[in-house]
Amino acid sequence: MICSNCGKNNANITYKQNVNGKMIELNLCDSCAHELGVFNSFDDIFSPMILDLEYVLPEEIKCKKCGYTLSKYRSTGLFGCDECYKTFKKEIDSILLKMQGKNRHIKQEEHIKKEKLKPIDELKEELQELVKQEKFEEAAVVRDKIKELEKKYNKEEK
Amino acid sequence: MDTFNDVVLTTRIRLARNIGGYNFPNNMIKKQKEEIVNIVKEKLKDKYTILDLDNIDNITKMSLVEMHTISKELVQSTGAALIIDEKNNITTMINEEDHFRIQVFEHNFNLEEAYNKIKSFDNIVYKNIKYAYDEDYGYITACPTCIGTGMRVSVMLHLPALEKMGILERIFNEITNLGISIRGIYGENTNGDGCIYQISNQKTLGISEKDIIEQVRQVTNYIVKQERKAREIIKNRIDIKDEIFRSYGILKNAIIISKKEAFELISNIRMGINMGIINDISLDNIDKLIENIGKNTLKKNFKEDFSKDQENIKRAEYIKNNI
Repeated sequence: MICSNCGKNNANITYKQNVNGKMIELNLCDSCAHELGVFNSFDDIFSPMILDLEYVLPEEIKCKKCGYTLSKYRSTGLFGCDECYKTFKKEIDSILLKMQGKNRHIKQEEHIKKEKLKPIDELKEELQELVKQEKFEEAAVVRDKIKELEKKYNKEEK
Repeated sequence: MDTFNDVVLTTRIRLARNIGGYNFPNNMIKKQKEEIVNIVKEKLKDKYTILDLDNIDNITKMSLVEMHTISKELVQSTGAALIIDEKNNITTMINEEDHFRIQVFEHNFNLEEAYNKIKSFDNIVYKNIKYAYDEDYGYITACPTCIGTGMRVSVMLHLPALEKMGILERIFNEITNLGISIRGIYGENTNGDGCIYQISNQKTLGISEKDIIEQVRQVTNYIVKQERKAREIIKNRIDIKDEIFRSYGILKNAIIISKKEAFELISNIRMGINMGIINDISLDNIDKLIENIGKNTLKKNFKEDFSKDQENIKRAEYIKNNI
């Protein structure tokens, strides 16, 4: 279709206007549409929307050492350097919790002691609580459990 | 000691380590990666063989991938190298996902041996090179899925009877809940060609090295028991016996054979040996076949390059000569 204004170029814009209840339709080319002030360009139509927004995206935190960002981690699944683990510690703590179920490293020796003593300690607390509540029958069961565990633990120690 | 060689093919332990103060390989240009390799060469060249990957020919590289010695990713990356401790079966990939991926490999089920070897290697490297380590997070790795101990313990299992009985999936679901992941022989997203599966620990953080080992040991014990039970149940079935001997017949006589078919048939024979049905082939022999029938490993053994069509002919020839 040829532009109804200049009659030369191809028309690629359809301009519709309601004039006194009658619909006028004009097929215009880019330059005529511009000249007639239909609009300046597509850019002009869309760009004010962005300016209208009050919210401005904050600049992302970058690792001081390697320049890595969290969004880069999200797209690659990898961090950039050892320092990243300090820069993004808060986020990493929650990432690790979801991923590994825990977010702290356990050293070999600490772990062994803790694992062995923990059930006994917990049971002892439970025993005290039961005695306080005068639930002696249940307390006796817990007491036997503790004895059994202590026996087992001592055996392993030897 | 029971090495579970009827069910367990190999035991592997891998440690992920990085040099403190450097970017991870994913965030490095080639030159920076070469710097890492140079540090390693400077500190460790008197103790171990260190090879630049660029100096290894393509077929050898791909053969190493087929043998699970190195990863496909390493072959595709730049500035990569290997530290080789031949005596202890330890290969360290330099500049894969982390600066170091140390891997030890043992035949059959041998966790202690593997663990002791890799720990002593790790200590030697540590004495010479400062690792990236954090009090809260342990050994720092590029990917948070490896952090903490940086340790992945894998066991390669041959589970034909469970698969034939159709209970493999149920067992896999059970052990997934115990924090163990399962994959086929060629890693993630592959199925178990030849009924071969690899199990490994999912978690590396908040659990001690010894406990990871213990976890994998217990799950392996459990699966081995189940597989043995399943073999007892199906071993007197006439159709199973038939399948085993047919497999033997094909492998001994085939002229053309694909890797997939070869794996399936070898799997049947392996099971047949362990059931006492086949007596004239050794398990070692069969396990060597499993290791060596990959395309590139065949090329390496025949010392020649060949096309896709020739590959299947050469495979049949290799199997016939070595079964």
